[in-house]
Amino acid sequence: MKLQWIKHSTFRLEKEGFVVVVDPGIVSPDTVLDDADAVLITHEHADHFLPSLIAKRIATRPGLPIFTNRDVAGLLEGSGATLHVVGDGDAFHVGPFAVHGYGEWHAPIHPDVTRVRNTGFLFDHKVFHPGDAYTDPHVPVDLLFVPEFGLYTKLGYALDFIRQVQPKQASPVHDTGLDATGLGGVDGFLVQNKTPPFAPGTGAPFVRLDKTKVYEF
Amino acid sequence: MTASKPRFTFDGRPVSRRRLLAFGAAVPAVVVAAKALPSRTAGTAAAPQSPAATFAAAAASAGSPALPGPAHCFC
Repeated sequence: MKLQWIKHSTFRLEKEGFVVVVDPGIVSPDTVLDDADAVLITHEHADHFLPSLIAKRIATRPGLPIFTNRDVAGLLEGSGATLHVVGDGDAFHVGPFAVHGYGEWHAPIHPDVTRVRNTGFLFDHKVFHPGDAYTDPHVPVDLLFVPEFGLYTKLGYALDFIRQVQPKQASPVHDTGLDATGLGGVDGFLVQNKTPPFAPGTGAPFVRLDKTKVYEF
Repeated sequence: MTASKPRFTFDGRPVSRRRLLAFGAAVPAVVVAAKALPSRTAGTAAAPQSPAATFAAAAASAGSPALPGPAHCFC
């Protein structure tokens, strides 16, 4: 598959001419869904799900297939999309992609903040997008997306997440709000090898994807 | 200087709140007049929106992706 990191947690995947976009949200470009054949949404937060983008695409692609959990599907009722409700443990196909759903809930933000349903997606047994959670799919993963910065993130958890999943490669996502200095500090913490005084080492290569490039997985 | 009127009495004698509590008596509850609340059934209640209208409202209210408002969280 061809993979491009658009921004934040938004990805574009392409295989055999079929285009899937994951988590189009408030920082995604307005054109992000223009050629999307299907959309997958991990959860309802605005940085992952922006109804205006969905509505814009449905205007040109009526019946747009959307795969998401039941809570987001509820918010999409009446949108004109073709809704496919998926969740933890489900295996399904999105065009030529074999997809597995993992996880139930968004990582906790605070006891006073309601947790929302979150479903991570594993594409073609290779690329795992956990949404906003540190869910271990308990299967081999080539590329693991690791959330870096948000109301729920804790870098110690992110580090342990990489250690637990043991992917062939870990790449950061969910990094909006960090400036270059912040990104450098966080990326430096999540490196593969132990680097005193702070980085304990994850054991997996850590590669920040270039948003201008398309990768093959 | 005017002596303040005792708020509490016990056996007909004015006492402080602290003394009243020491006697083990029940302190009179402070009653706040409740404002009359509008009846949920009063007036013309809006009809429930259809799912399509609800989604259209959400799509319209989200604003420009380039201009995330303060209500948006990066979470």
